[in-house]
Amino acid sequence: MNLTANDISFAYHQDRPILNEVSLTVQAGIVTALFGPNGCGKSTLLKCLNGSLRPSSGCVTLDDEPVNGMSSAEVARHVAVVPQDMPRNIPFTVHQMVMLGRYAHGQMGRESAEDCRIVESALSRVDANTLGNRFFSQLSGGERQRIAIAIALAQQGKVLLLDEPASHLDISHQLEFYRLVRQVASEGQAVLMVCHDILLAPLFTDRCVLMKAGSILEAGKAEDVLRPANLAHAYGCHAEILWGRHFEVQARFPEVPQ
Amino acid sequence: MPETRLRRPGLVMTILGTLLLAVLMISLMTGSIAIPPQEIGARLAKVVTQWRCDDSTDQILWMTRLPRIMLALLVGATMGMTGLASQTLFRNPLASPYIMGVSNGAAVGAVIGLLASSFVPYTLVPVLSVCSGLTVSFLVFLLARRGGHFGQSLLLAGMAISAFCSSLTAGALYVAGERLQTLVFWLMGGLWQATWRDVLVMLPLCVICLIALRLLAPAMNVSLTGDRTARDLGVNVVRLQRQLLVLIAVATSVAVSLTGVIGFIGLVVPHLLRLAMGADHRHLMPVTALGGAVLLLGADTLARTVVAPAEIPVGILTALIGAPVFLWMLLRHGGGRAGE
Repeated sequence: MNLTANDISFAYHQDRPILNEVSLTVQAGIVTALFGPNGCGKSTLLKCLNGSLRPSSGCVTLDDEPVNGMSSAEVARHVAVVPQDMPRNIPFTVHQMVMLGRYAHGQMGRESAEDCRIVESALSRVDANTLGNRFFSQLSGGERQRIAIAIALAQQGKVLLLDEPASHLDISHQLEFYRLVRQVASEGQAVLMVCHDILLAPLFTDRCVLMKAGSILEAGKAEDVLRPANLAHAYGCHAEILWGRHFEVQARFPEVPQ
Repeated sequence: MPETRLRRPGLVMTILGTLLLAVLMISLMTGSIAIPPQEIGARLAKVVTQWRCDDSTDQILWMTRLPRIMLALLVGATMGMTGLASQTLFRNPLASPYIMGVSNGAAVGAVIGLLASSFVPYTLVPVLSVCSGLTVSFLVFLLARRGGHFGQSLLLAGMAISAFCSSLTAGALYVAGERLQTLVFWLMGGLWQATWRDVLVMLPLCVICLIALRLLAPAMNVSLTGDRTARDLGVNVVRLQRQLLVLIAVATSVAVSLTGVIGFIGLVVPHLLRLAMGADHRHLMPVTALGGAVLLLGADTLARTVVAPAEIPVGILTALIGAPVFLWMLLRHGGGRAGE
């Protein structure tokens, strides 16, 4: 299942457009990373992609069906979102939280044995089996982030959208997370993740998209997109990144004072 | 919202069910005439099967005590449920329909109706109360939609309109003249005028509330994660907010029109039960209805027996019980917001 933005534009205020005719396809079986400086419209694009925001022009389609014509539950059955951050003070246990991911599939709120199996599997995939009976509010930032991912996995959508998913994770859990994302894509899901980490994330992605000021600057392989000229244009800083084989990366920042 | 340590809906339901039976029995037995428990069943069975009251005890039991008990149960259950719905709508454990201005809005209509009862039929008083309650809710909703964050705007608009309605009520009391005592007594909240007709009005409303809120319970659970996450998980957040608002407005307006303003039940009962058995609305909603029914029936039984033959407006008693509990909640949990 492919999720496609067709020339979408969006503005919260008419005189300040956030997205300008953006076209992007989140393809099944592919991990796409979306890069760009703060405020360039990455999160807004994500909200448009799952129908939370309606573009002022253009449309978002899920295998040719307009997302804005679908109900919230219908979208949630196909598209799962991992938000940048979740409210901390939610009065549910981790198990109850992950079960909320089954809401769009539920019948009158009854939990089937299948739902329970899916929840257990999602918890297991983010290495959080032992957290099941703890309260969500008692978890650390990294643990909450893993539970947010487990909720999205429990939705069993065909598209996974992640908004800075690794921001609260330590290096070990980041690697674990990227491995999981690759595994999810290999199972046929389309994955799009908004990232700030231009060094680690590209190692695990098939395609990179670089945004600036509401437009896509370039899309393609990491070495083509994250080249010094593009990075300087997008972020306004000089950086050279060299990718080797077998998850090797070297970076040079000539402007950093010695 | 604070999390809970216990999560045993069955146990809490059993305790409340037992309490309900006990309070119900005491309430049937006590009052201006004490009726022995062994007589109650026989007398009620006789009235139901033969459809006649032989003596004054039958009259009191069937025409005064039973409708009052039934109305207390139904209004208490409805107040508990609408309180829980308000707390979920605002994602704030200290919210209640009163904060949204619905109760004070309904009170204005009732007070105007009572003042004008020389010119208009008395039966119009509840109708006026419901109309003004719904008008205020609609106004609050319109104002809230124009604001930024729906929950916060709703709260602020509700407080402002509520204050406006209170001043209207105070103005009405100022010009009430010889009707002042009646109005003040009504405003304090009470069930002394309960009739079977009131019960017939309240019964379908309470049942509809219970069914509708039970159906909305899974979406209400998801809504505690915040508007954006709830939307991502498949909840139509705007529709849910509208549905809850309509249910709260209609149920509270009708309840206020029948019993006056009885505070704290919708605030205290959902909060205490959430502490006891967790925040899962699928279990919490019916238990809250039961808890509200028990508390109002218990308070009303006390209100009409503790200084018999006179009686205390039940609103005073619920406030006496509720205010310290409310303060305890504030001190213990700081009135913390959830989902923010």
